[in-house]
Amino acid sequence: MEQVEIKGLSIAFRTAGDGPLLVLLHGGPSDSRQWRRQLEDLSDEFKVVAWDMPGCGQSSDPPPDWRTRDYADCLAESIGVLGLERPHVLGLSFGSGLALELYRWYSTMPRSLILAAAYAGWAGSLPPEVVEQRKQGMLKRIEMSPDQWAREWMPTLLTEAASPGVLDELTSILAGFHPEGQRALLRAGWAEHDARDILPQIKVPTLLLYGDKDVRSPLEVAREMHAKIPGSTLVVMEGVGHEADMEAPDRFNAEVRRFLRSVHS
Amino acid sequence: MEHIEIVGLRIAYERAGHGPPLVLLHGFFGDTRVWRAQLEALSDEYEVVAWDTPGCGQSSDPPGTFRMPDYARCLRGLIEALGMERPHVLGLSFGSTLALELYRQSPQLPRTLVLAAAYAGWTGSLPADVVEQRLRQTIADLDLPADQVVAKYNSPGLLSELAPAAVLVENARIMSDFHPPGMKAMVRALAEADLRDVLRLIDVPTLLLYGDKDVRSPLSVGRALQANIPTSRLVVIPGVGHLSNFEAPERFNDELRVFLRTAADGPYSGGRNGAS
Repeated sequence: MEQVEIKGLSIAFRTAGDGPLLVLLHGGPSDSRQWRRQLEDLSDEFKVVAWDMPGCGQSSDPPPDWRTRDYADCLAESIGVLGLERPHVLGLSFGSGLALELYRWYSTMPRSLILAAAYAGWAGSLPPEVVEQRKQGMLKRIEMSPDQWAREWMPTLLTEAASPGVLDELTSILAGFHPEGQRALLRAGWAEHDARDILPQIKVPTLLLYGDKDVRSPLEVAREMHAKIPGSTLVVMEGVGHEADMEAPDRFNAEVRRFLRSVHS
Repeated sequence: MEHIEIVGLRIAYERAGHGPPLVLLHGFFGDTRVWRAQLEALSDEYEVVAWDTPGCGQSSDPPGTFRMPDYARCLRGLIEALGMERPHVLGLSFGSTLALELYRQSPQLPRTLVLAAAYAGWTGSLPADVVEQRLRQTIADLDLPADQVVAKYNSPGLLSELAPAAVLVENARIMSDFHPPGMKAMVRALAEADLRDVLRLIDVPTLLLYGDKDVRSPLSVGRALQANIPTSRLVVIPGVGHLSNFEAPERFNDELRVFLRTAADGPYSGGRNGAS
């Protein structure tokens, strides 16, 4: 694990391989460990960098006045400090919303976007009552023990077909959550995040990658994103849930590889 | 940040250091914050004052009819109120045209001129159709939300595509605070300005400073200014865009310091705050 300092925050990241740059943005309750198989497999062809966003994993918790934009600024500066010129940016779930917010302010930075299990923000993709329900659920879960926190999340992240090994791995990742980091996400306004206005402005190649058994970002959301992002490609993986990168890493990585090669050819 | 009332407007400014006075005039979408590196570095040798142009930062918005002569009168009011005697005057982009207008009104006031990413006004430096197109486009863009303004003007635009991420982020933050009414007045003032007739009258040392990746005031404009200002020298900073002071502060400050030391080596007559 390496660390950089951005405006007084310690930002941790994992890195593997050499080649075109691929930045991985993990989901809300998780950290960079969710990308183990991408770091292992895609590093034969790409320089793969996965960060712990502020408030997760081994990165510092953000200050209390952070807004959604501060996360995007911090990501942009981290990419700059790491010397990652025009990386491909892959965000899953929360990470996809962050990728869109990066694009909003720094559209010249990403070379391409891969939005997996993606939303245009909760408020941008889900009915208001679902947003409120998720927000209240989060607030309740933040007070729970790490084991309970993980147990609460698990049913909506993986399908029943997920292997026990994957289940254990994700449980142990989730159990490392920072209550303060999760509170910061809600305080910053991520529950109300609405990135719909960015979608039609996207001018870089964009892959939308979804599992058809995803109950958190369902296929209606996928189709809406696909319709709004000009020239985007939608790939649906059968029998896979929200954490497609962990549940079906071989297929997930093959789709990412195919897409990135098409951008480079 | 300090502030003072000039011609009915609240004018905010930063002041740092002691020595010969140096006034810094920012351009579009800017405020005193774009001069952070200059305030920090040059205050070891100069009394550095950077203002928020009326309609920017923490200064109040002027009437929509404010034009370059009005900005220059307001600037002269600030210089006098702060007791700065014969300051070096450094203007970037809009600020450069303002510096020229100040010179037109009060040729005895500036000790030297540093004109960065400069125009003799848009009308004075650009073809009429380009002026018309820029004016129409920029005024319309000022009604867009801040994120779209940043997307259109940050990079490539004010900054080159080579600008480091931390610089992009800092400038995006500053730009996002622009005042739409204040900027509209500035845009109209710069578009209408034509300071060509002043150029050949200038008889103080003048440095023209351009980034060769500047897509807003290209080097051809700098060469035209050099040809018409008898006392001028043109320096080009390679690999840098319009906001060269912000994108490459060390090289910008080095050029500035060399110029201020050599071109202005006459006896410095003023005490601190010009009190002599």
